[in-house]
Amino acid sequence: MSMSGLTLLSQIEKKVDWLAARSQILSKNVANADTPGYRTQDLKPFSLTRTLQGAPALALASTSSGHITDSPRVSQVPVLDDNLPITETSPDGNQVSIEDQMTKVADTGMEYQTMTNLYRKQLSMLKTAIGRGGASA
Amino acid sequence: MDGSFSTTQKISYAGLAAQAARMRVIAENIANADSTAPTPDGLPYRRQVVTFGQQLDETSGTDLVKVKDIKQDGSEFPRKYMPGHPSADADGYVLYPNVNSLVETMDMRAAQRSYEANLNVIENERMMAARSIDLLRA
Repeated sequence: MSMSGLTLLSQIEKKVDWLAARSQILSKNVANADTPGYRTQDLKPFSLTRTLQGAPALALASTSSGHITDSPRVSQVPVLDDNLPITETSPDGNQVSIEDQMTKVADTGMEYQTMTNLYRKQLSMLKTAIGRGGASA
Repeated sequence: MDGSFSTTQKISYAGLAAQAARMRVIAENIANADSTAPTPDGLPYRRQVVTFGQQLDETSGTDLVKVKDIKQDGSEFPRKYMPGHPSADADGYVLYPNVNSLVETMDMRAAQRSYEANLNVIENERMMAARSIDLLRA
Protein backbone atom coordinates (compact mmCIF):
# COMPACT_ATOMS: atom_id res chain seq x y z
CA MET A 1 0.00 0.00 0.00
CA SER A 2 1.41 3.35 -0.95
CA MET A 3 0.87 6.48 1.05
CA SER A 4 -1.73 7.73 -1.41
CA GLY A 5 -3.69 4.56 -0.72
CA LEU A 6 -4.76 6.14 2.55
CA THR A 7 -8.09 7.80 1.93
CA LEU A 8 -7.49 10.98 3.87
CA LEU A 9 -4.05 11.59 2.44
CA SER A 10 -5.20 10.96 -1.11
CA GLN A 11 -8.15 13.31 -0.63
CA ILE A 12 -5.82 16.00 0.70
CA GLU A 13 -3.60 15.44 -2.32
CA LYS A 14 -6.55 15.95 -4.66
CA LYS A 15 -7.65 19.06 -2.87
CA VAL A 16 -4.11 20.45 -3.04
CA ASP A 17 -4.01 19.73 -6.79
CA TRP A 18 -7.31 21.52 -7.14
CA LEU A 19 -6.07 24.52 -5.12
CA ALA A 20 -2.91 24.78 -7.23
CA ALA A 21 -4.97 24.67 -10.43
CA ARG A 22 -7.30 27.30 -9.05
CA SER A 23 -4.51 29.63 -8.06
CA GLN A 24 -3.19 29.36 -11.61
CA ILE A 25 -6.56 30.43 -12.99
CA LEU A 26 -6.78 33.27 -10.50
CA SER A 27 -3.30 34.46 -11.48
CA LYS A 28 -4.48 34.51 -15.08
CA ASN A 29 -7.48 36.61 -14.09
CA VAL A 30 -5.32 39.10 -12.23
CA ALA A 31 -2.75 39.31 -15.03
CA ASN A 32 -5.59 40.04 -17.46
CA ALA A 33 -7.29 42.62 -15.25
CA ASP A 34 -6.88 45.19 -18.05
CA THR A 35 -7.22 43.04 -21.16
CA PRO A 36 -10.23 44.16 -23.23
CA GLY A 37 -12.95 41.54 -23.51
CA TYR A 38 -11.36 39.15 -21.01
CA ARG A 39 -13.88 36.96 -19.20
CA THR A 40 -13.21 35.95 -15.60
CA GLN A 41 -12.61 32.25 -15.05
CA ASP A 42 -12.84 30.04 -12.02
CA LEU A 43 -13.05 26.35 -11.20
CA LYS A 44 -16.13 24.52 -10.08
CA PRO A 45 -16.01 24.14 -6.30
CA PHE A 46 -14.10 21.13 -5.04
CA SER A 47 -16.51 18.41 -4.11
CA LEU A 48 -15.56 15.24 -2.33
CA THR A 49 -18.39 13.18 -3.81
CA ARG A 50 -17.52 14.25 -7.35
CA THR A 51 -13.92 13.29 -6.68
CA LEU A 52 -14.93 9.90 -5.44
CA GLN A 53 -17.34 9.30 -8.29
CA GLY A 54 -14.84 10.52 -10.85
CA ALA A 55 -12.18 8.08 -9.69
CA PRO A 56 -12.95 4.62 -10.97
CA ALA A 57 -11.20 1.88 -9.07
CA LEU A 58 -9.02 0.65 -11.90
CA ALA A 59 -6.49 -2.01 -11.16
CA LEU A 60 -3.56 -2.74 -13.42
CA ALA A 61 -3.50 -6.18 -14.96
CA SER A 62 -0.50 -8.12 -13.78
CA THR A 63 1.12 -11.27 -15.01
CA SER A 64 3.27 -11.87 -11.97
CA SER A 65 2.71 -11.45 -8.27
CA GLY A 66 5.81 -9.25 -8.14
CA HIS A 67 4.20 -6.56 -10.27
CA ILE A 68 2.84 -3.43 -8.73
CA THR A 69 -0.93 -3.67 -8.88
CA ASP A 70 -1.78 -0.59 -6.95
CA SER A 71 -4.57 1.29 -8.66
CA PRO A 72 -3.26 4.33 -10.47
CA ARG A 73 -3.92 7.62 -8.89
CA VAL A 74 -6.72 9.18 -10.89
CA SER A 75 -6.33 12.89 -10.49
CA GLN A 76 -9.56 14.78 -10.62
CA VAL A 77 -9.35 17.08 -13.59
CA PRO A 78 -10.42 20.49 -12.33
CA VAL A 79 -13.46 21.69 -14.24
CA LEU A 80 -14.00 25.28 -15.29
CA ASP A 81 -17.18 26.82 -13.97
CA ASP A 82 -19.33 28.07 -16.84
CA ASN A 83 -21.89 30.09 -14.91
CA LEU A 84 -19.88 32.46 -12.83
CA PRO A 85 -21.76 35.42 -11.42
CA ILE A 86 -20.49 38.56 -13.12
CA THR A 87 -19.57 41.15 -10.52
CA GLU A 88 -18.61 43.94 -12.86
CA THR A 89 -17.99 44.57 -16.54
CA SER A 90 -15.97 47.56 -17.67
CA PRO A 91 -16.79 49.39 -20.93
CA ASP A 92 -14.08 47.43 -22.79
CA GLY A 93 -15.79 44.14 -21.91
CA ASN A 94 -13.36 43.13 -19.16
CA GLN A 95 -15.04 41.28 -16.32
CA VAL A 96 -12.21 41.09 -13.79
CA SER A 97 -12.77 42.65 -10.41
CA ILE A 98 -9.38 42.82 -8.70
CA GLU A 99 -10.89 42.92 -5.19
CA ASP A 100 -12.88 39.81 -5.94
CA GLN A 101 -9.84 38.00 -7.29
CA MET A 102 -7.63 39.00 -4.38
CA THR A 103 -10.19 37.60 -1.94
CA LYS A 104 -10.18 34.34 -3.86
CA VAL A 105 -6.36 34.28 -3.95
CA ALA A 106 -6.21 34.76 -0.18
CA ASP A 107 -8.85 32.05 0.32
CA THR A 108 -6.91 29.64 -1.85
CA GLY A 109 -3.71 30.33 0.07
CA MET A 110 -5.42 29.76 3.40
CA GLU A 111 -7.04 26.53 2.29
CA TYR A 112 -3.70 25.39 0.97
CA GLN A 113 -2.14 25.99 4.37
CA THR A 114 -4.97 24.12 6.04
CA MET A 115 -4.42 21.17 3.74
CA THR A 116 -0.65 21.02 4.23
CA ASN A 117 -1.12 21.30 8.00
CA LEU A 118 -3.69 18.51 7.91
CA TYR A 119 -1.29 16.39 5.89
CA ARG A 120 1.50 17.03 8.35
CA LYS A 121 -0.75 16.23 11.31
CA GLN A 122 -1.89 13.00 9.70
CA LEU A 123 1.71 11.99 9.09
CA SER A 124 2.67 12.70 12.68
CA MET A 125 -0.28 10.61 13.84
CA LEU A 126 0.92 7.77 11.66
CA LYS A 127 4.38 8.16 13.14
CA THR A 128 2.93 7.98 16.62
CA ALA A 129 1.11 4.83 15.58
CA ILE A 130 4.30 3.17 14.38
CA GLY A 131 6.05 4.33 17.51
CA ARG A 132 8.50 6.93 16.37
CA GLY A 133 7.24 9.66 18.63
CA GLY A 134 5.71 12.03 16.12
CA ALA A 135 3.40 13.42 18.82
CA SER A 136 5.68 16.36 19.44
CA ALA A 137 4.98 17.81 15.98
CA MET B 1 -3.35 23.66 -17.51
CA ASP B 2 -1.28 21.69 -15.07
CA GLY B 3 -1.52 23.85 -11.98
CA SER B 4 2.24 23.92 -11.54
CA PHE B 5 3.75 26.74 -9.54
CA SER B 6 6.21 27.73 -12.23
CA THR B 7 3.44 28.22 -14.81
CA THR B 8 1.43 30.29 -12.37
CA GLN B 9 4.45 32.45 -11.66
CA LYS B 10 5.05 32.86 -15.38
CA ILE B 11 1.50 34.15 -15.85
CA SER B 12 1.93 36.67 -13.04
CA TYR B 13 5.34 37.79 -14.28
CA ALA B 14 3.84 38.42 -17.71
CA GLY B 15 1.20 40.54 -15.95
CA LEU B 16 3.94 42.52 -14.19
CA ALA B 17 5.79 43.09 -17.46
CA ALA B 18 2.63 44.26 -19.21
CA GLN B 19 1.80 46.74 -16.46
CA ALA B 20 5.39 47.98 -16.42
CA ALA B 21 5.20 48.62 -20.17
CA ARG B 22 1.98 50.52 -19.61
CA MET B 23 3.70 52.61 -16.93
CA ARG B 24 6.51 53.40 -19.35
CA VAL B 25 4.07 54.72 -21.94
CA ILE B 26 2.25 56.76 -19.29
CA ALA B 27 5.61 58.24 -18.22
CA GLU B 28 6.28 59.13 -21.84
CA ASN B 29 2.90 60.87 -22.07
CA ILE B 30 3.39 62.86 -18.88
CA ALA B 31 6.93 63.83 -19.83
CA ASN B 32 5.68 65.13 -23.15
CA ALA B 33 2.62 66.92 -21.78
CA ASP B 34 4.03 70.26 -23.01
CA SER B 35 5.96 69.14 -26.08
CA THR B 36 4.71 71.50 -28.75
CA ALA B 37 5.80 71.37 -32.36
CA PRO B 38 9.09 73.12 -33.16
CA THR B 39 7.54 74.97 -36.11
CA PRO B 40 4.14 76.67 -36.59
CA ASP B 41 3.00 74.14 -39.22
CA GLY B 42 4.10 71.06 -37.24
CA LEU B 43 2.04 68.89 -34.90
CA PRO B 44 2.70 68.52 -31.17
CA TYR B 45 3.29 65.24 -29.31
CA ARG B 46 0.37 62.83 -29.68
CA ARG B 47 -0.75 60.84 -26.66
CA GLN B 48 -0.10 57.07 -26.78
CA VAL B 49 -2.38 54.36 -25.42
CA VAL B 50 -1.43 50.77 -24.55
CA THR B 51 -3.79 47.91 -25.33
CA PHE B 52 -3.38 44.45 -23.87
CA GLY B 53 -3.98 41.10 -25.48
CA GLN B 54 -3.16 37.46 -24.90
CA GLN B 55 -0.57 35.29 -26.52
CA LEU B 56 -0.02 31.57 -26.23
CA ASP B 57 3.21 30.64 -24.51
CA GLU B 58 4.27 27.39 -26.09
CA THR B 59 6.59 26.14 -23.36
CA SER B 60 3.89 26.25 -20.69
CA GLY B 61 0.86 25.88 -22.98
CA THR B 62 -0.98 28.74 -21.38
CA ASP B 63 -2.03 32.21 -22.50
CA LEU B 64 0.12 35.04 -21.22
CA VAL B 65 -0.84 38.68 -21.20
CA LYS B 66 1.15 40.84 -23.60
CA VAL B 67 1.16 44.43 -24.72
CA LYS B 68 -0.72 43.99 -27.98
CA ASP B 69 -0.35 47.43 -29.42
CA ILE B 70 0.69 50.95 -28.57
CA LYS B 71 -1.81 53.12 -30.41
CA GLN B 72 -2.02 56.85 -30.84
CA ASP B 73 -4.84 58.80 -29.32
CA GLY B 74 -6.62 60.47 -32.24
CA SER B 75 -8.39 63.12 -30.19
CA GLU B 76 -8.06 66.82 -31.03
CA PHE B 77 -5.15 68.94 -29.85
CA PRO B 78 -6.15 71.74 -27.49
CA ARG B 79 -5.34 75.27 -28.75
CA LYS B 80 -3.88 77.91 -26.51
CA TYR B 81 -3.55 81.61 -27.31
CA MET B 82 0.16 82.39 -26.99
CA PRO B 83 1.19 84.89 -29.65
CA GLY B 84 4.80 85.07 -28.50
CA HIS B 85 5.34 81.31 -28.77
CA PRO B 86 7.77 80.23 -31.54
CA SER B 87 5.26 77.71 -32.94
CA ALA B 88 2.21 79.99 -32.80
CA ASP B 89 0.19 80.22 -36.02
CA ALA B 90 -0.82 83.46 -37.78
CA ASP B 91 -3.68 84.04 -35.29
CA GLY B 92 -1.41 83.49 -32.28
CA TYR B 93 -2.65 80.01 -31.34
CA VAL B 94 -0.39 77.11 -30.38
CA LEU B 95 -1.41 73.45 -30.63
CA TYR B 96 -0.69 71.55 -27.42
CA PRO B 97 -0.35 67.78 -26.96
CA ASN B 98 -3.63 65.95 -26.29
CA VAL B 99 -2.27 64.77 -22.95
CA ASN B 100 -4.42 65.34 -19.90
CA SER B 101 -2.24 65.01 -16.79
CA LEU B 102 -5.24 64.09 -14.66
CA VAL B 103 -6.19 61.21 -16.98
CA GLU B 104 -2.58 60.02 -17.06
CA THR B 105 -2.33 60.10 -13.28
CA MET B 106 -5.52 58.06 -12.95
CA ASP B 107 -4.21 55.59 -15.50
CA MET B 108 -0.94 55.36 -13.59
CA ARG B 109 -2.81 54.56 -10.37
CA ALA B 110 -4.76 51.83 -12.16
CA ALA B 111 -1.54 50.36 -13.54
CA GLN B 112 0.01 50.47 -10.09
CA ARG B 113 -2.97 48.70 -8.58
CA SER B 114 -2.81 45.94 -11.17
CA TYR B 115 0.94 45.63 -10.68
CA GLU B 116 0.51 45.20 -6.94
CA ALA B 117 -2.25 42.65 -7.45
CA ASN B 118 0.11 40.56 -9.59
CA LEU B 119 2.80 40.87 -6.93
CA ASN B 120 0.34 39.64 -4.32
CA VAL B 121 -0.48 36.62 -6.42
CA ILE B 122 3.22 35.81 -6.76
CA GLU B 123 3.69 36.15 -3.02
CA ASN B 124 0.74 33.86 -2.34
CA GLU B 125 2.07 31.33 -4.82
CA ARG B 126 5.50 31.38 -3.17
CA MET B 127 3.87 30.82 0.20
CA MET B 128 2.00 27.81 -1.18
CA ALA B 129 5.18 26.36 -2.67
CA ALA B 130 7.01 26.92 0.61
CA ARG B 131 4.26 25.08 2.51
CA SER B 132 4.62 22.12 0.18
CA ILE B 133 8.37 22.06 0.68
CA ASP B 134 7.84 22.29 4.46
CA LEU B 135 6.02 18.94 4.28
CA LEU B 136 9.42 17.34 3.80
CA ARG B 137 10.31 18.42 7.32
CA ALA B 138 7.20 16.93 8.85
